[in-house]
Amino acid sequence: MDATYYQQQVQKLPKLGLGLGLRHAHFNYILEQWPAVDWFEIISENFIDSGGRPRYVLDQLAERYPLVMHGVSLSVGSTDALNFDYLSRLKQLARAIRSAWVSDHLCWTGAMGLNTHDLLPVPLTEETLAHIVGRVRVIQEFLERPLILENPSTYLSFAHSTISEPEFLARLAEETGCGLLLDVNNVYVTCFNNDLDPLAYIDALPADRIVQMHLAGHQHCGTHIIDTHDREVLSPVWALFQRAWQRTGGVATLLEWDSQIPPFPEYHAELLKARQFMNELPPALTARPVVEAETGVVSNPLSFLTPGIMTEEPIIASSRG
Amino acid sequence: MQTVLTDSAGLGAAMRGAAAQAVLPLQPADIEQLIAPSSRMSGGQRLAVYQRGYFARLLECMAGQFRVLKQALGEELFEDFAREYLAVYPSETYTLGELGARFAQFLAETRPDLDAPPEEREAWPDFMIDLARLERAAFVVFDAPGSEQQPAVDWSAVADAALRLAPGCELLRFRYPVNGYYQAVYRGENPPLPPAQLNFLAITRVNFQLVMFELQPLQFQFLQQLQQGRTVQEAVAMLATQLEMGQVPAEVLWRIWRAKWLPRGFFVAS
Repeated sequence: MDATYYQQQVQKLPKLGLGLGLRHAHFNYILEQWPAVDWFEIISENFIDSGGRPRYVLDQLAERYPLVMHGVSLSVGSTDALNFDYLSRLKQLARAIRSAWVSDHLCWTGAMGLNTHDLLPVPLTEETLAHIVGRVRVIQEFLERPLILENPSTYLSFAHSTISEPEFLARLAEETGCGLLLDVNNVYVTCFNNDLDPLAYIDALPADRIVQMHLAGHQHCGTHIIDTHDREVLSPVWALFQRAWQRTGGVATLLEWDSQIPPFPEYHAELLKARQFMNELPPALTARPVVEAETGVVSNPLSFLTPGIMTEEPIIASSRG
Repeated sequence: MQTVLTDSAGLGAAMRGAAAQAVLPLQPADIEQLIAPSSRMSGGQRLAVYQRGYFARLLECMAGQFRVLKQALGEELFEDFAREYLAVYPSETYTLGELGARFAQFLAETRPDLDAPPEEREAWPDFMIDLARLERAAFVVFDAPGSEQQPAVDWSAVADAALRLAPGCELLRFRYPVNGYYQAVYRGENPPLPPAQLNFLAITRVNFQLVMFELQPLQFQFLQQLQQGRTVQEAVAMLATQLEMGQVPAEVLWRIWRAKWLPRGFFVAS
């Protein structure tokens, strides 16, 4: 299939509304309350190998909510060969839970057989673009659906980069037909860290290729911003969200909260704030950021990715033979 | 970049290190030619954000997967071991589920008294290695394929010949009573390290809940026979021979165990 085919598929993807990330800490609440959330996003790697309770819970949710798979290990920018075992597992789960789409990041996570489990930046050059275009085409053919790629938070840029990130994403979408996941918090973080204008970044993206948005909290460390996903969305990000909502006509929007995860009602309430900002700018837009030391915080936390086998409920019984 | 990020030395030392030099022979000053500065940070400072993040993020995962071991070792020592482990055995798969797979092995390979004769070795490394094995096994069984989604079985109608040890049933032999320690930590206690005592454990899963089942040595041997592919009949025969109790008492013993173990998820019907 060519880029036009996948582009047409992207145009047909539904506007799912306001969604939340599915987190282990909320399993019981969701199963008991079946909250009125428009849709859930899962971290693909959290479920593709699960044969236990996580998969059992997911199957139940698939009966009631639209689901979307969001991955962190595709490593589309790597020079290592694509992992077709991993892709097979993605494809299998996507079919089983009728995932509305499958997304990952414009990044590399490892090379030479290693996985750093971080979303590392790629040099934004013609050579890299050609490399990633080729890989996206292969991935889409294999998955038999368009791939949706997200702009990562970046803390550095390469001196030999020649293409801006939004242009890189726009050309990637044009040449492959892939869709875009616009993380407006990542735009804010990346633009601060690289001395760029975040509104100009959003305006430079092709709005008709954007399928989904991400919102999240971050920590301002003075010299740089860390994408911590551990707090409420800050007002400059809501302003970017408002611009992106207007430009895209209101695509599926999801709030990420991956560390210091609050109780479900609080998490949901933070998401629903998005309704206030779809059409007008927040009043505290120019508030000075609170600057905190970097100590103890990380970008894109990982610890929520593995199930806490005994943190939620007494699920261990001990007996004597 | 990756070689530098995953080195537990500082940025400069990592760049000068043999691993980084083998990939790309650069000096720390070369960073500024490769990575653009921002208005507030040099290229090296920006790269260091990723380096700090690499270990911090994975150490958090390790602490989540080895919560009890972390309490036993203390936070600082646990982090030292985990950091060194990540440097020696970095992740090679797409899943964080495998991150801690070789941690117990690493602790055994790097114990401080490795070169001493066994009788002169300290006790605490054995305890910590056992604890790491237990936590890893529980983590694996929790999310392994199980039999919960299979049609309900009327066990009273299942003959011994049709019983197989459940694929997710893990049998473990420890030098220390780590299960008691593990349970106590999860109850919020701060137990002392127990003295050495052989500990046999089966970990199974029922309705997606882990079951930690302490076994007698004979029960452990019996279940090991099944794990090795022998039938119940063959395992009972082993029991009769080993105890010199005769076939009938062995059969009686098996009936008692069968009743106790069936509802605990030890078996599947073939």
